Amino acid sequence: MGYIFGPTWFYGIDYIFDFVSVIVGLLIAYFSYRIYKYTSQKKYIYFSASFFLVALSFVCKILATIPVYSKELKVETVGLVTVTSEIIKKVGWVSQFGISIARLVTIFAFLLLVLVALKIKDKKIIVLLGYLLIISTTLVSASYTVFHLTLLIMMSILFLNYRHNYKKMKSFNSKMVMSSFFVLAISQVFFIFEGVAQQFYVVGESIQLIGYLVLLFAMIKMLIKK
Amino acid sequence: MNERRTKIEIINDILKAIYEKGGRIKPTHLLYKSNLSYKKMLEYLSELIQKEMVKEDVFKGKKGYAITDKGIHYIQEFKKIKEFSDSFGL
Repeated sequence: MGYIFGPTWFYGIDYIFDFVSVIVGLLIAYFSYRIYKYTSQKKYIYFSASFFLVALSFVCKILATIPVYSKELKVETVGLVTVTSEIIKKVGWVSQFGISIARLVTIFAFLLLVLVALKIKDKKIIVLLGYLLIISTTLVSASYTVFHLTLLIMMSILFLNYRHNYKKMKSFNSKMVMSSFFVLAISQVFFIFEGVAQQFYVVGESIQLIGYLVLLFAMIKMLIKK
Repeated sequence: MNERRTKIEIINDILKAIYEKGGRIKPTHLLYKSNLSYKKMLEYLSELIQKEMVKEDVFKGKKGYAITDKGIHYIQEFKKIKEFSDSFGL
């Protein structure tokens, strides 16, 4: 299975980047849930759930990579070769399982977001997409390339949808939302190539952070609106 | 031609109509102000009563509706809710 975490100097820094994404995800989920409480419209609870899952996927990723990063430290500091190799084997399995869960949650989160954004209500289409999701996630667990390619396609669809919305609304915040998904889609392109050079992971994480910061900026503008 | 109002806009219009009338309103006046059919207005009012944003009230011996603190809070929050909905195309 392919798991790439970038260069060692970047270990831990990506936690901070991912933590920002967690905050943004939770903020949007919370505000959408509040609107649901007022309106009882299901689209808001689904929208809230999708961003909650986005936040959860980043938490899963952080938790899953902690053993990988600490494993790296153990290799450097502990001199008992036999014991160290046993620890690596155990930790590797936990991390692989955790990252697979994080990927599944991410795919499910963005699929839900696509369904809500495109206002897909036809149960036949939802069942078909669900089936394709199961098929693709089987592949996703085997390849980070397929995982990021799937995300790239979903984020591109979301970008096109929000571009259409921006053309209709012509508001600053709708422009920010559109821009954020464009940036998030671009970040996936770099993640796809992280196998070529570890630096792509750093660039991908940095661009992804910018995408979520743009979304955070839009949310702050919405929340302080008088 | 006016675009169809969304649910959050209709709720805001109902609550604003009550609020602008000093917090209490007669059903006939609300019907006129909300620009809804009688049946639709009752459906919305039933939901708003259930959500404790509006309560049934009697004033000057007649049945009416009064806005609650939660309803006033919705009016204050409406701009944010609308901005959020519009920005994400919901």
